[in-house]
Amino acid sequence: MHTSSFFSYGLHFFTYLILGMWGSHTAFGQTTWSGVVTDGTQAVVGANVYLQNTYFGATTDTTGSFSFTADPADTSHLVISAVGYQTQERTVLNSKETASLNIHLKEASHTLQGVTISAGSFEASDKHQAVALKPLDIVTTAGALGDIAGALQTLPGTQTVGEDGRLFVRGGEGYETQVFIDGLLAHSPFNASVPGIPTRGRFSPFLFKGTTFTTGGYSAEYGQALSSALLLGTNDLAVQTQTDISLMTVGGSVSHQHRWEKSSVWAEGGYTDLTPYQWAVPQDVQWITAPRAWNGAAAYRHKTSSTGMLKLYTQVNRSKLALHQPNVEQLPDTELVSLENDNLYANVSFQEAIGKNWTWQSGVAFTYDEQQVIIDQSPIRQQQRGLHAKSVWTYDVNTNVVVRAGAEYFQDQFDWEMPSSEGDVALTPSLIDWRITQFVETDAYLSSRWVSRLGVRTEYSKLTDTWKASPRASLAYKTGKNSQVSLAYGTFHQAARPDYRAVNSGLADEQAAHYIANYQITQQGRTFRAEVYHKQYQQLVKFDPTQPYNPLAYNNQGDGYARGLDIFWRDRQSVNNLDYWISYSLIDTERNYRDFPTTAVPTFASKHNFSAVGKYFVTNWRTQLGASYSFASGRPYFNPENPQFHSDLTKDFHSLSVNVAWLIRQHIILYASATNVLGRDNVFGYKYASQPNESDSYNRIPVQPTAPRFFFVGMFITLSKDKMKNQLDTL
Amino acid sequence: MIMKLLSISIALFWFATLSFAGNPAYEKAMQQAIDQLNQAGSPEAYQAVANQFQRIAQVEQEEWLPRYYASYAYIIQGAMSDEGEQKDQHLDQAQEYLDQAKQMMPEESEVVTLQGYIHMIRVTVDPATRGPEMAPLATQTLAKAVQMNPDNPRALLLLGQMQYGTAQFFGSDTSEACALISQSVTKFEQVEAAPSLYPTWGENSATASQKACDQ
Repeated sequence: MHTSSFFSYGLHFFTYLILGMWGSHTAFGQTTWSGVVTDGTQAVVGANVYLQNTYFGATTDTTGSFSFTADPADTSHLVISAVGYQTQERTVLNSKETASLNIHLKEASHTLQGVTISAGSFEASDKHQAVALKPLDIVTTAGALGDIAGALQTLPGTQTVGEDGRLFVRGGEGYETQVFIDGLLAHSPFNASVPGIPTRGRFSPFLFKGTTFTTGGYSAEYGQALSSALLLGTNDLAVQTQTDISLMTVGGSVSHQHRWEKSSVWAEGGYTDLTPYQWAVPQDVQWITAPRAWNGAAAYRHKTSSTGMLKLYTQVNRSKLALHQPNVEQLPDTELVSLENDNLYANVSFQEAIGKNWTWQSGVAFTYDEQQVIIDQSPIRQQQRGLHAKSVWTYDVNTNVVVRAGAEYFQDQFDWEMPSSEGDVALTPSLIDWRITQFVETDAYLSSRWVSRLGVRTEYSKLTDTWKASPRASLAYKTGKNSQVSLAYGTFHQAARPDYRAVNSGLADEQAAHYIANYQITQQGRTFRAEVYHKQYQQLVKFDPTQPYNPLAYNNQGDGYARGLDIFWRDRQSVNNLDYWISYSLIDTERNYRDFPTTAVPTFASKHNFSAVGKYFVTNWRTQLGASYSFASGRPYFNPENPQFHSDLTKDFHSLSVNVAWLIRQHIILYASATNVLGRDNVFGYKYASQPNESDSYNRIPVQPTAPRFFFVGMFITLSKDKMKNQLDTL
Repeated sequence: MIMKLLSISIALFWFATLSFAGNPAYEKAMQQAIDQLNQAGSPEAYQAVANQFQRIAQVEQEEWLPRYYASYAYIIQGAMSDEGEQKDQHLDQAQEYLDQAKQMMPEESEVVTLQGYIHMIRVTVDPATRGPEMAPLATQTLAKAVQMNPDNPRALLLLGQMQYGTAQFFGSDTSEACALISQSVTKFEQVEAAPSLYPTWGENSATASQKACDQ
């Protein structure tokens, strides 16, 4: 009997143990928890509702309802979590009865579909689906020829200024757009050029993973740009070790990158020369030295910790060109124009998180540029040194408020050497200026619908010995699940052009105030944006052209305005494999600056600008076909025979460009493009002689491309050590 | 006497099983959730099971498997979704749980396999933009998982599928990819008694992929 009682005791013990664990509590009575989870208007589906530190819980169904049973306890801590909502915790006093709960979740502020600051800004990244452009768009836009500025010119707010190549934004001049790489200024972001020959950006689009193109109202972190800041974010660690070879009708390049676990290096060398191209395709001008350039670049990346990143980038560039341009004063004579340019850019930046809530970013950028332009045997040499150092602290106060503050130091030095009007005595003006700036800015999510950004930037300039403060403010309100309206305001300063300040160092900064209202709706691969703006210019430099070296002939009494409407539509959804966007800009702008005798529309402004870009991917051929069309209404030009200043307009501008990219194999891409395929005879403006000729009229020559069309063919090859294969062989 | 010995040994056996099993509540809850995972067919069902693993994970702070499975359930939701933004949202969740699992088991081939899987589905959101960078990353990660454990049929399967897709797109030879897939099928067949609760998913997909190869 003893044995059997022990056995039965043991059996009971285990019964107790097992049942005790697996729900014998049913016998004692369980509590049923049930209820509904909503966000105020609709059911939250798939929310996780559970008792903290237990397995007990359930998932809400399509009506937001949940129900589960759990052991009773004196009090229970209920947790409700769902993606896109703030997690809620509730302590519930257990009544041992069926609990029925109504739970109201608040949307998390930083959800993917959340409200964002969007007025005046176009983002190109692959982070979200909602961005206007993808990084790849910059290289695949027909007519852009891999030039960042060229691709951005298909966005609203920009002007087609074919003879220049820089970005003219909302009635602003080319110099009013500044380029920042990882937050640091690139002092000479465009290749040197001579009048009439369009320039290209110095930086390859392949260097960057994210681009933000602002057309106004941008953050207090950026200054010294009246119209626009182009923010380029460089790539992180190289993905893999590989070598890239480019063979193009205009030259070639080789680059190699090596990846270690926590660091990578990359180096590139290239040479471009348009001599063979200009021999093959007839040109309207007589080239002596076709544009040619040597390029070298190197980058180093080191991941210093899980949150730290050190980036170094440097590039050198040497280029030259020479051509005969018609001499408008003595037609049909020509004059020889030549250019030589050396440029160095270096950028070092470091980023690290400090503790949970702080991020620290610092960096230094340096630019050296030297160019010599000879027009009709009269050489002008210009040397520029630019330095920008910056340190930014970001503090996450909580999930809804972020504060950014920073300090910057800018230094600029320009030296010139030019013949004086008295013959061989050389003039050597120079200019040195430094600035210190501070900024502080707060992004606050006031609710899941409202976000505000308030900032202020202060700058001190050594040369003018003045302090300036620029307030900036943005506000966005989410009007629906996919739509929002936003407003932006800001004042912006930019130092007067260095050649003006070299004569009169007391010239004050030019100023602009921006007022922007924006509406945006994004839904399933379709984006629509409309933006209206008003921009008021003040303190623009005016001068008397007859006294170029007289400081008293320069002043800050110029002003102007620009107002208009920008529309953008992009659709990658409606037609399979087709992605297209359409931009339209209407602008009304006038200014009185430089040597204008009166307020007038500047020569770079066309009232209507339109572009359409399409890309179609043919899967079977692994080929992308692209086309883009640009239109700009006529631009005003100065006609000395017309007493009405800037009242003549050029004919409208039209250009249709096509391209094709064929992925021959995994590592080989063949790319071909043709710009202005229809050969439209576009005229950007006219250059008039300063004096009338014998027949008492003024000679003039049209400003036009050097050839109506441009063709390009390139082959891009990537060689990578196929790690995977090597590894599989050992299996 | 015999009865006594018998009862003692039974008792010892029970104790032994219990102590070896560690935490039977955990095991049972996991097994239930895994069964539910194997039966799930709809995004809602995968969300429910992800939540279940999430609940287990918040109790069991030291276990990597609930985090692994929560991540897996989110990957499948990402794969099932046909809207890019939503895909990314699920994959962000998957990455969050996988990161936790990674910290606990950085050298586990199964964990690295899931990382490769996340990259693979990320590519599908926008192949033209993400393909050039993310597709090699997915391949590399899966190759690393194979290298860590050449007997892991899931790593072999996904690597094979990744290569198959790439080869098809470029119109090149799929035999290498198919060799990987059939290797994976063999490993699934030979699979020895894995530790309990270990991942077992993928066999049906492997046989289906093999059929596609054979056609």
